[in-house]
Formats: sequence, structure tokens, C-alpha cells
Amino acid sequence: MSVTGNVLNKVRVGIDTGGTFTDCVLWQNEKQPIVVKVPSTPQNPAEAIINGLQRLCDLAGIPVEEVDLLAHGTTVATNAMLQEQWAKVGLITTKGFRDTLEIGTQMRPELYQLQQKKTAPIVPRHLRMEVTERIDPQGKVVDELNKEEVYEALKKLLSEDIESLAVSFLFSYANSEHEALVREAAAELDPELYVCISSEVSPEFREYPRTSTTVINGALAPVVRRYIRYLREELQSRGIGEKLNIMQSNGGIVSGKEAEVSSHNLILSGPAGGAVAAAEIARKANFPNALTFDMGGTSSDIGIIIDGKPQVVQGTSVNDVYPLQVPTVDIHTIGAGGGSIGWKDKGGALKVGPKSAGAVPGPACYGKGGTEPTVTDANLFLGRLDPENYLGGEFTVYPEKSYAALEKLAKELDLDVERVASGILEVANASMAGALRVVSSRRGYDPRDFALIAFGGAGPLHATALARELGIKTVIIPSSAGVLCAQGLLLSDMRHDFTHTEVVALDIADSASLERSFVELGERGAARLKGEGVPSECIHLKRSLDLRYKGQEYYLNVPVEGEVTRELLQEAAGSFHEVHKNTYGHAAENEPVEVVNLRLSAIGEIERLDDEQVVKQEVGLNANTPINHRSVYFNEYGWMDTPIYHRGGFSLDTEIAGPAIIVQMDTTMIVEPQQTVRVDEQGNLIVSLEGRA
Amino acid sequence: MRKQSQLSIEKPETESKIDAITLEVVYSGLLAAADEMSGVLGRSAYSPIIREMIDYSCGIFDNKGNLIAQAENIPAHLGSMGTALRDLFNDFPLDTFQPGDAFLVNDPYRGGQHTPDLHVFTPAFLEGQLIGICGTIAHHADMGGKNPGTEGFDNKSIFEEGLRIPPVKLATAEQINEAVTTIIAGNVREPRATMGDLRAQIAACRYGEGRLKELANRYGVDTLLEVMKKSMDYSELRMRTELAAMKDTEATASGWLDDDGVGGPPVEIRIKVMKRGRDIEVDFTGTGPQMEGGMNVPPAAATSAVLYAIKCVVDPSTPQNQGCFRPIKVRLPEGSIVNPHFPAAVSLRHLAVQRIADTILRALSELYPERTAAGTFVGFSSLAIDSWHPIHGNPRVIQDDLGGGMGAHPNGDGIDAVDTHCGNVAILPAEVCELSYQIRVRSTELIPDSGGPGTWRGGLGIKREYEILEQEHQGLVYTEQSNPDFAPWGLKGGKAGSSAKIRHVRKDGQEVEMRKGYFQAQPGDRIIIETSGGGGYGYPVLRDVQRTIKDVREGKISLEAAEKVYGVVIKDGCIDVEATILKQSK
Repeated sequence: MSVTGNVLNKVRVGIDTGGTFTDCVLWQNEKQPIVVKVPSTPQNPAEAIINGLQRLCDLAGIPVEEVDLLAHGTTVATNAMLQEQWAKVGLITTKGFRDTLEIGTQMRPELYQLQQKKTAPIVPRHLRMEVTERIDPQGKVVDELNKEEVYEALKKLLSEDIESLAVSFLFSYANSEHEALVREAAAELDPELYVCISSEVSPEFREYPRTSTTVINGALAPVVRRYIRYLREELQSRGIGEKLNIMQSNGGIVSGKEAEVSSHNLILSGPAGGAVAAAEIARKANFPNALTFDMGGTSSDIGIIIDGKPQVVQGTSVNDVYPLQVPTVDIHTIGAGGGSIGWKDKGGALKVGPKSAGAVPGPACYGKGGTEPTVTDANLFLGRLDPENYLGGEFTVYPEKSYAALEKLAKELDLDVERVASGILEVANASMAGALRVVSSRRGYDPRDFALIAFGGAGPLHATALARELGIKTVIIPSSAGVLCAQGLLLSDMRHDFTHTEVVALDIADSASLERSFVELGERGAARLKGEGVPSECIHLKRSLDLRYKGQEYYLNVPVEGEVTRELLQEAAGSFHEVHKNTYGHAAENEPVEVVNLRLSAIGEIERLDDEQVVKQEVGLNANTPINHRSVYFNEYGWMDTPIYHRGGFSLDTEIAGPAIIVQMDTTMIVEPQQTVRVDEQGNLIVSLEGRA
Repeated sequence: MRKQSQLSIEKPETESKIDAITLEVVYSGLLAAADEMSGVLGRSAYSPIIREMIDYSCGIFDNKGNLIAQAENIPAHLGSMGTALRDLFNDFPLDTFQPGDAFLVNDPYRGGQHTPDLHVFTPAFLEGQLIGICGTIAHHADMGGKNPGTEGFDNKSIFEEGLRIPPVKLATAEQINEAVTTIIAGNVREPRATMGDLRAQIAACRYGEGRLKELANRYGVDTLLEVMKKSMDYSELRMRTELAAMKDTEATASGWLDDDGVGGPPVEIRIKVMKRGRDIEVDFTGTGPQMEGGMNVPPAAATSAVLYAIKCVVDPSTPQNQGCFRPIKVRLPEGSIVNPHFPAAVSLRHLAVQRIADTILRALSELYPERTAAGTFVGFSSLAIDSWHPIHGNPRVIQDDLGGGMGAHPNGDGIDAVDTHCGNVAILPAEVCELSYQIRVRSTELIPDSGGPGTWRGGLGIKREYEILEQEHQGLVYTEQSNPDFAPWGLKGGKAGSSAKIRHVRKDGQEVEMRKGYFQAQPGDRIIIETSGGGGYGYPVLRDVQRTIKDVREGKISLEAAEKVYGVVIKDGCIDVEATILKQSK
């Protein structure tokens, strides 16, 4: 059983807000999926959502109130962080520790810059107050909380018009009493004030990441709450306010109401949908281990899928600065995209990026004032993009402007224009391939054992060259490469994560006490899901332990099943040695193992729709004939007359040898000479590089 | 011992068969390979000092021993592996290298840094041809000697600093040289961790070999070797172009260590920097004679400090390779603290290394303010205490190094509270401390008014208080820059930052000030360390009044200092305009 229960003809909608477009997908059993792209409305993202929803329902011929599930990937939290448009937060800490947030790890951002700057903390020093209190690692009170100081601090902060309050005391994960008392006091003085306490937001040891995570929650909550409440009201007026669910960074969805208080879980709301969808595609296409490559205009996201699941890491950082201690889909962003600019540096080398032409002025070919050659300009000049049909023909580009920009750089480098254009692609590919290799090798994997799943506007343009560079044998371009994140929203379960820190040697750990802690976490998880309307039979509680060798600083996560007993702990130690070997290259079986954290994920299962209904929309029955031919430049081969295909025209038995270019509305794919491409049963394009030496 | 370390090895050639694009593509492959080696080492190392504090570096060298690409995690390792590698050629000439060989060295008198830093090198061959060499350096938790962790300010000879390993063959293609590993394991405090870390170093080198072979297969050996050569020429050109754009100068400066490690008088580091045209020379003539204690600096470490300082000033973004170093000449007088005679102790060379970097930057700061900054905290304030696990009771050593303020510069305030110059390690979290040791961190705070006043203010220092719990503890603390005369200097009218200070405050309130020393502490006693703030830049009265008001509001500058030093009078949280104008006009 699952959340949507036995009523298979329920209507589900996934809506993903992007920078330019808001992607919308509607699924209904026994019907063709409906896909709509509407322009995003950055001032009020909800507007585009309502527009898209209305259009989907019009096309489906159903009233909006018939929608049973609306899953939404939002950039509200991400943008608030990137643009520093967060709420004014006050912070109260243990006496002596208000500067923890500012000192951080004490490591400096740049090694060789004498004139460097460090990003300011989210809460400035005068809004960080200290109160006398101290709890020890076992949760015992060392110094009682001084209530007078608490009221004094609160009054001072309220007089500064803070919009929210974060409280982070040392060892509060072991005893949350003092933090809760501060929250009560705050409620007395101002019942409307949003208060978050570190023992609830991030109950894990290490004061800096815990405080930072709590502060991020406080900074985002008022912004996220405002947005979600507005959206819920809009939806409520159409009868579906309770159907709203939001995608979290961990790859699971959560009800709109819950999302209001877990704002710090929404930072990767958008890309998480892509990771979930890519994992599903990888699994069904029988390539359970895959690297994902999502290339956009200014940056590219790289992710890893193992055994058909997106990898989730236990901590990350926001804006590359602020630690955020929440489970997050493991996505690595690099500053290379279609808008990355090619330039000659002081030593005479051709460099690409990190400077990007962005959306404004954009690549030279956009004719909006850009005069420097970008990756997109190089693709256009080399025939890899069609000037007549850029973005499905809805967008005019000016190839002569690309040429002028490339020619200028060619003169500076004393090379011909072709060499410079192909050089920009080579250099950009080399750096992206380097990033893919570093991302996988740092996690203990060899990219040659993986398939590459490419999506995003520019991903399929570069994927086959990257695969060749990395020794990857298979490239997968999903049928819905352009709306993958929205599709992923409809494949996600509901999910809440809980943590309990308990540092204890495994051999002397009290299994009954660990079991009690797990049961307690499970009760909280189940209660939260039930509160969101999930029936008990759809609730799954997944336990895991963070373990390490005694003396180590950091830990590895090991899943466990069933009641905690001595035997179970022994088994967990066994798995730990194995995971340690896989991750770090060696294990020390005779070393004592230590428990660090108990983790529990409460999953509310959403029933999958039948495969047949959702992915085959683009598999047509037309003949596999090219729609056109044009001259395209391939490195090592030069200009080649190349057939252009429309993806919608492919049938299931299609198999085409490169060189070829395959276009669809929102992306273009290159098949290089000596590569072949076929369509699989899911409608994915599968490029094989096996033919190459 | 070389009297002069000349880094220039070969002249650049202008002829070339490859273009800018091939160079960039293949070179980025070499840089990624060094970075991947670093990932392999970090993942498979055992000790926290390597994995968590990231005290290791990896590099790729050409088939003559020139550094081509380096992934260094702390600047202390900049360019230093090459010194050890070239010294190794004296015992193992290049033409005797065989596929599968691995070499090991840590001897500070054979191109090493200090005994805990182990170097491993392996040659890479393709079809019988040597195509490059992979190298790693990693700081091991312990190499034996009288103190846990091997380092000691009052060590009087290298023989108190654990196992000294001259260049030896650690492995052949067939097997590890077990005679070597057995001797090492028998001389260190944590043999299992040390062996694990050593295996991780070998694994990283082998990984690098594989990547070099792949690159040679893909682009051809000739292209690969040509790219290596051109990449050095490229970095050299970048450095020389920048140098040519800088005014010529001959500048001198002196920097001082508080003492010689055993309670003697301050020790001088004298620097003369000559920048002429496209070359730069750093001469240490006049630097004090080698000291009795453990802060002498072997040539490889002194050279790294020079390269760090020059790279900061000339061009921080030039790719790290031998070409960068060609325009730089270093003179290290024999028998001085920067080129000591065997068997002087060197284990705490990093304290002097910080001061070397600081002194070079001081020499250059008056002439190139747009490229430098005022003085930075270089005291390296640290503590090491023998403690016990609070629950299990097993003995363990707590170590912590504190950062301080960076110097202000014409474009902004110095950063508050960071590890500086050649170091960049993390602070021990208070919760990790109390979970792991019988020691409670009572506070970790920025120190108001510690940053040197100026138009731009120096960064603030850190104050940290450690409280001893449960039973008597023994430990040692040390710091440099405790003498106010040696505090981070101001520039162009800016004032000096505060000096560093360590106190042992007994439970009864009695205080003992310490600079470098051993102590016994009872439960309830506190060790309080205060590090320096950075120096200020420009005259304080010229500071933007709004910035001073903000600093006062944030408690980074006191009301009194605002009035007395900056001439900004604040009453009830608002600026008293008349009084301020009156003050500042004086």
C-alpha cells in the first residue's frame, strides 16, 4: 500500500521552478502524460505555478480540484541564500561561544591571497547574544540557565526588530531543556516570533555546523513560510491547498505545512528532483550505476547514482561557505556552462570560464551586447547547433556575431577561427571531464564503471565527448531530458530524517537503550507522516548507524534492520569494515568500532504509476529519416556532412551510426563518428562508444 | 650542504610543436591527476592529521625531477617535494630507476622538512621509457623521539626528533622492502596508523603513475613531455611578466623569533629582497646562527616559505610548477637558522617558517602596498596535553593550534581569526574536545581591539579558555609573537596588532604567564591562550566613520578605542558629530 492508495486513476502534477522556465508535468493512469513549459515569474514564482497548473488541467480536460497530488520543486530557498535575501535573525548561544558562527573552522578561503575577504556570517555580532548555561556531553547540567540573562538578551534582540530567533547551546543534542526554556521565554515576550532551536533543527555534535544549520533555518523560515502560505492560499482557492507537497534536498517530498518549518531542507529542492528521476531512469535502463551531468547556461551539476539510487550525503555547505548539516542528494556544482567565456590569459593560454556571459548579455550570438566568445558560440559556429531552430525556433540567434567574437580571440591567439572554436570546446570539455573524474575518484569510484546520464539544455551537446574523454562506454539521454526535474517530483516518496547523537563504543553499548532511542525516533517520524495524511500501512522506517573506528574524527553511515541486539551491532560492525574498505581503501577489523549517531528516515511511500503510462510519449512510429543535413565540425575529423534527425521521429528499432545530430525542442544531442545511438524501451537514447578503439 | 639554493634549472625554449589548446587540454589532465592523487591519499589515510587536518600534498614531476603539477593543501609544502627528489638522485641516479620502484625519505638534511613529513616517490614508465615521477608528502602523527608527535621547542638535536630516514628504496615492482617498514614500525608510537598512512602514500603515487600512462597513451609520449616542458615555460612567463610590471627594488627587513626555544634571547631573521627586471632574489645573509632549540629551518622549508611569499605578491594564480620558481633565487647562509648544520633540531621549523614569510612580505610591503598587506599573526600558538578519555579513561594527547588576525591592506580590513600564511588547519571543536578529553573549552572568542588600528583595521585574534577536569594534567604550550615588539606590524600609518599571550590560571586565581613551557594543571585550572590581531593599514583617523561605528556596535572596537584611537565619539549609540570632528581635526 502507498499514499495514493488503491485509486490508480489519481491525478498527479509535478511543477519545477527554473530560472527561465517553470516545467510542469501531469500524470494520469491510462493517459498520455502532459508536459507544459511556462515562463518563470521570478518576482512571484507562484504565479507561473498557477498558470502551468491551469494549462495542464485545461489540456487534460479536468478541473483543477481533481488534482490529487501536487509536488513542487522550488528555488525560493536557494535564491534567498544566493542573493542573501534572508530574514534578520537573532542568535542566543552558551556564554563564551557567540563567535563560533564567525570563527567557524578558522581556515581561510584562499591560500595565496593577502588581500582576501571572508564572507560575513549570516548573523552579525551585535545580534548574537550569550547567556550563562552549560550542559556536559552526557546531558548533565553543569551551569544552570540564567533566566534573567535570557530575558535581557531577548529584549535586546526584539528591540532590534529581528524576524526570527535561533538558539544554539553546547551539547543541546544531549539535553534540550535549556534551549526549550529560551523558546518558552521568547513566546512569552512575542508569541508571533519564529524560534528555532538547534536540538530540533540539527541534533548532532560539533557546535559550528549545528549552529550554522540552525541559523540557516532561522534565516530562511520567514521567507519560505511567506511563499508557501501564499501558494497554499492560491491553491486553496482552487480547492487543492492540502495537496501541495514540496521537494526537499534529501530527494523526498514533504507537505507544504511541514516545509514551512524545515526551510533549511529546501536548498537543493530543484536539482534533487533531477537526481531522483535520473536514478529511476538509470535503474529501468539497466545501468544502475551512473554519473549524472546537467549542464546549463552558467553552471553544471554532477551527481552519482549507485544501485539505482541517488547518493545522499549527511552534510553540505551553502554558497560554499555556510555548513548545513542535513541529508542532501550528493550534487557537485562546477562553474562551467554554455555561457562560459573563452579568453587568452597573461601567459598566452586559451582558458574557458569561470567568467560567464550569463543570461544577460548572454553568448555573442544572442545579439544582446555580448562580444566575447562563449561555449555556445563555439557550438553554433561548428554546426553543432542549428541557428534556424535554436530552442525549437522560438529564439533568434546571430551566427555572424559568434564568428566576430571568435575571430577576435583567434587573432589574439594567432590561430584560425576553427581551431579556436574547437579549442574552446576541447578546453571546456577537458575541465568538465576533470571535474567528473575528481568527483568520482574522491568518492572512491572509477568513472569507466559508470554510464553517463545527460540532461539540461547543454548536457546532451557535450555528453558524448565527455564520455569519450573519460572512457565511459554508454551515454543515456532521457526522453524527457528537458523536464527531468519535474518528472522526478512525481517519483519521490515523502521523507523525514531524524538523528540522535550517542557516542559510545560498540562493544559496551547498551543495545536496549539504543533500541529505545530508535523507537522514539520512529514514533516521531510516524507521527509526522500521519499528520500529513499518510496511512500507517504506507509508512516505512529506515534505521542506520553512523560508525567510526575509535580515535577517528569522521564516520560512515551503515544501514541496520530490525531490533537492536548484540548480534545486530556485531553485524553492523561487519558492514562498517566493508564500507570502510570500499570508501577508504582499507579496513582494520581488529580495531574497536564506535557509534556516533543513530539515524532514522521515515518514508511515506507514494505508489508508482505503471511504467507504460509515463515514459513512452516520444516513441513514434515514423521512419528514421534525417530531416536535414549540414556540415558539422568534429575534432580529429574536421568538417563532415552530418545528418540531422528529429528525436520525435524515432521508432523503437532505430539504430543510427554517428556522426549525427538529434534535435528536440529543448536540447540538441551530438553523436560523434564511431559512436552509435539506439532507442531503448523507455524511450531513452542510448549512445554506445564501444565501437571505438 | 648547499650554500645557495638555485631554483633555476633550465632556460625556457621558444620553439614548440604544440599549440595553446593542446597545452591547456593536456596540462589540465596533469593538474586533475595531481588532484586525484590527493583524493586517493586523503581517502585511504588513517591518521586524522592527514585526513581531517589535510596536512599532505601530492605532485607530478617530469622525467628529470622538475615539478609539473602540484595539489598542495597547505602552502608549507609549496615546491618542497622537488628539493627532496633532486637530493635523492645523488643516491639513486635517474637512469637506475625501474618500473615499480618506490623511494622514501624524511631526512631534513637530505631535502626533507622535518622528520614527521614522509616523502614517497615512484617513477612512471611507458614501454620502458621514463615519462614522469609521482610524489607525495604527508605529515605523520608521530615519528618517535622524546615527545609524543615528535615535535619539541626545546629539542637540542635531530636525534631527539625520532627516526631519520635518508633516501631508501621502499619497494620494487615485486615487493615492499620489509626491512625498512619493520624498522619504522619499531620506532614510532602508533605503528599501525603510520603503516596505513604510508600505504596510502604509495597508493596515491601508483594512481598518479596510472594517470600519467593514460595521458601518454592518449596524446603520445612526445606530446606529454612537450606539454610538461611548455607548462613550465608558461608559468615562468606568467611570473616574469608580472615581475617586469613591478618597480625594481632592493629592500631589507628583519623579523624576530621571541627566543631560541630554550629561553635564550630573540633570534633574528634578516632578509634582503632584490627585484630587478624579471628576476627576484631573496638573501638571508645576516640571519642569526642556528639556535640551540627546535625551531631551525631546513633549506626545503625555508625555500617553501620564500616561494609562498613571492607567489602571494607576484601572481597567486600561476600554476604551481618548476617554471614559477625559475625567476626566484634564494641564498641561505650555511650555519644559520635557515640552513643549519647537522645535527641541529628542526621539528618546530613551522614557527620560524611563518616568521620568514612575514619578514619577506614586510620587506616588500612598503614598495608594493597594492600587492601586500600589513603584518599578520605568525605566532602559531599551540597546546599539547596528555589527557584521558572522559569515560573509557584511556590516555590520549590533545593538540590544538589557534589562528589569529590577518593584516589590513589598501582594499579592506584584515580577516578576523584564521590560520595564516604557510598553515591552514582547523580549530578543535569545543564539543569534540569535551567528548574526547577531560578538558572543557570554556570560551572561544574574538578579542576586541586586538586588530591593529588603521584606515583599514587588522583582523582580530582569538581567545580560547581550556578548563582542566577531574585529575592532574601535564602538558606543554608554546607561542611566538608574545613580545609586543614583534607583534603584527602596521603599514603606511596603520598601527600594530596585539601580541600573543598564554596564561595558566590556577583555581585559586593565581596566574602564571608562559611563552613556551611545560605545566602541571589541577582540576579547575584554566589555560588561556590569546593570539595576535593583524596590523592596521593607513592612519586610523582616516577610517570611514561608518565602519568604526559598525565595529563598535559589533563589539570589535571598544567605545574607548573608537574615541582615543579613531577619534570617533559615540554617545548613546549615535555618533557625536561635533565632538568627532573636533577630535579628528587634532
